[in-house]
Amino acid sequence: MSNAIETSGLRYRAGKSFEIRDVSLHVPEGAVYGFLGPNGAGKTTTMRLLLGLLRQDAGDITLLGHPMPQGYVEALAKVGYVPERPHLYPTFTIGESIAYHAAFFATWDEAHARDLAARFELPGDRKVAALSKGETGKLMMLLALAQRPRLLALDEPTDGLDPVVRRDVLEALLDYVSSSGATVFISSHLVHELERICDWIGVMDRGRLIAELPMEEFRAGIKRLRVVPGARGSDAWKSAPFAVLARHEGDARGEQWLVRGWKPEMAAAVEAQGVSVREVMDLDLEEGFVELLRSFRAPAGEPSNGAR
Amino acid sequence: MFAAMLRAQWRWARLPIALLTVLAFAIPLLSVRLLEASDPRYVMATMQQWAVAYAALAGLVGLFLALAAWSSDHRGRHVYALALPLPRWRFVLNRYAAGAMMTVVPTLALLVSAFLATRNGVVPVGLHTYIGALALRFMLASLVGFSVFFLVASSSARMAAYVLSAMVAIVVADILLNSAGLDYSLTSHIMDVVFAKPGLLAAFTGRWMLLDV
Repeated sequence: MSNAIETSGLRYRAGKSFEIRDVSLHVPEGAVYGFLGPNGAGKTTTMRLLLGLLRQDAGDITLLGHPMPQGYVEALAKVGYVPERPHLYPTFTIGESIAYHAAFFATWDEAHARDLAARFELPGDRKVAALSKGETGKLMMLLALAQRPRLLALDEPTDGLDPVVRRDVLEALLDYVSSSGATVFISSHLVHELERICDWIGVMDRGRLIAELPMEEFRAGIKRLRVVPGARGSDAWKSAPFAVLARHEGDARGEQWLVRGWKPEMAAAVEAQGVSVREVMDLDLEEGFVELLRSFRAPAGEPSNGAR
Repeated sequence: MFAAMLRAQWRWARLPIALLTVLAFAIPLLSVRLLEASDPRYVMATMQQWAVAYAALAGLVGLFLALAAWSSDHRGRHVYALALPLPRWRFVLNRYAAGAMMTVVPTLALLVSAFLATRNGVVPVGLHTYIGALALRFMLASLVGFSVFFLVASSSARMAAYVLSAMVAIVVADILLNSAGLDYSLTSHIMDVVFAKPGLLAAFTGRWMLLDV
């Protein structure tokens, strides 16, 4: 499978205190790729680098087969971009915004734009400056989708929207993706939202990509184990065949381990080291995401948030 | 694409341009209507006084068109423009061309007004009308003003700060030279270089005369 977005060794320094470091992304064609990270992790900067809005200090970027930023004209013609902050001209009406945007894209689908405007209940004569946050979000999504792009680059597209609008926007997005097979690169810190729609995730923190894997693998690999260490098993976590992200000492029922890379057949190996695995619990993406960040930020070789 | 950019810029610039067009229409009419005598020397002196108004108006046309061309993009930190699939030089060129085209509107107003003002035999014997030359000079000066302000407006805030700092430095240097008792004005020297032929802003000086010998 080829990649819609590929970077290697991407570096960019923004000011004195923030740097994107050695980011190597691989977004498969046709995937819905969730780009997760806390505020200030570097998601927006990375997205701007990918689209050629910023020029990297080092590293290579390929966007839909075009080297960036050199091939930005050809690449951007196939990309629907929803930036973090609305960039529309506030003095325009909705109709004028649509007409202006359409003029730049050869693939513009006027009928689809009309359908979306009706579906989102966006009246053509309303001024952009007078739109609510939800209406602005819908208009941005309309502009991105009516281009019929091969790649949608969405930077926090539903941030601050109420649940109804968020659902409308995501439904329109999924309808388009299912009919066109387009790739979606969506950044968000609303982890629950991404859990429903993404099949790949990448996690950024402090300017670095700390994880990139299929959603299924992420879900399957991160577990909460309830274990009872025996007399010889107090340090067993150190030699476990999986990564222990966090340990929470509990009561007489044992302690809890948050682990990554878990497979059912590993239970026997842990038992052999004197630790009894009593329960294996699934984590949702948000818990997994938080623990992943904690483990990334913890001192090397030690699990976070628990007795060590 | 160019039509879309032209429409957009017209939308941003139309109010100030409408006002400036009214002024461009008013100045030739007023300059002739307010003549109180038909003595050629008096008429020429009066016309010379009005010359400042034409030059100032051309400068204002350039300024407002340049501001209108970029202010919306500045507000959005140019993200929209940068995310569009066309070469950036072409985007800038289109913005420039659209703004430059709009200088035609006040120029036409001035041309029509100058024609109306001089058609009923108000020209004293020995003087001639220079309707076309005045309108051409006005358009040229508007374009020069627009080009200069466009360059400043399209650059970063840092560049604008450099330009402003340079201007302040020149004024401070002049004050220091003056207080040191030296008979040299840096400002005057720069003004001479810029405004005298073939200076960058030479179009703003010279004879802005609707009636002349």
